Amino acid sequence: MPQSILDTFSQFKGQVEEIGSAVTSDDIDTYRQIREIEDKSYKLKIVLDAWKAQKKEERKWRNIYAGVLLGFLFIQIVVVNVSFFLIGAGKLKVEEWVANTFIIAVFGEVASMTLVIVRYLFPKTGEEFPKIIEGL
Amino acid sequence: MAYNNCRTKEKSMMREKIENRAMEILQQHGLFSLPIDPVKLANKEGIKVHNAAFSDESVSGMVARRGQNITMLVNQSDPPYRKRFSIAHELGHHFLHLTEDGEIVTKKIDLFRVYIKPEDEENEEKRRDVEANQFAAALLMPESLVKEIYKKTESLTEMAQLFNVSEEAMGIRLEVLRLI
Repeated sequence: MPQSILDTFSQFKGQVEEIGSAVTSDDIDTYRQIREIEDKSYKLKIVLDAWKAQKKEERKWRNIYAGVLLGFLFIQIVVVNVSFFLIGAGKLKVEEWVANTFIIAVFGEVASMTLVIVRYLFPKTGEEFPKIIEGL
Repeated sequence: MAYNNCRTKEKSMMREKIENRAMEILQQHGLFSLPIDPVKLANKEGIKVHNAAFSDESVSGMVARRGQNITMLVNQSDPPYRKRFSIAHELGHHFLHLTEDGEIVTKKIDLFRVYIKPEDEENEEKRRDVEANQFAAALLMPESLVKEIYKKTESLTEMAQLFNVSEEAMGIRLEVLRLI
């Protein structure tokens, strides 16, 4: 507590418990504080809108990719099943190693496509957005 | 009746005098632009303004003069609007009443009273508080600016924001200036 101020108010020692920092123009400028809050909320709204638009667009493309990939998988599975039964019924004749390789290759293809869909089209939700908000 | 008329006229003249004084001070210091900054005015007058914690929470501020050393304390727990008004109020005491060494304490309850009650007319302390309130209102919301802006917008909220005062203070000011 500055001594000179204490001396000035020596008569009010009982009433003045503590003398704090000097009051600045910014401390009492409520209008500026409101404006800052409004600016921040405006920026946040813009970021949020952009974020929502980006997410919507991403979801749209993910749906398209996932649809196309799942379509291919379905065709592959139908082809491999039909081939399997045709080979079993003796209507399609191929070498044993060709049939084995074909079935294993299709199985591998299905597994890797599923991995691609799960891993890259549905990534874990990160902390990207909270970080953007913190930066505002 | 004649006595009452005379008193009313006297009070109105006093208010006018205070309005003019506040305007002069603002123009003298080049601070006649919105929002008015009472801290800047105080600092230009060589007055130190500090936050303080008072044992009596109803105290909003105090000003003391010791020679050339003038210090103002405002209640640190008050919101910014209230602090602004308290500083302007204490400036009122500084310009109107503290011509020699002394000190004045202001309580929150007195802050918005701009008319003196008939029973308090002989009470020097209350009269000074009312005058300081009139000065604070005139300083933060100069009559000419209020009237000019009121022509453009009649929104109390917008005006309070422009003048950086509470809506309550702006409402009282508009009423005193007979705009509402």
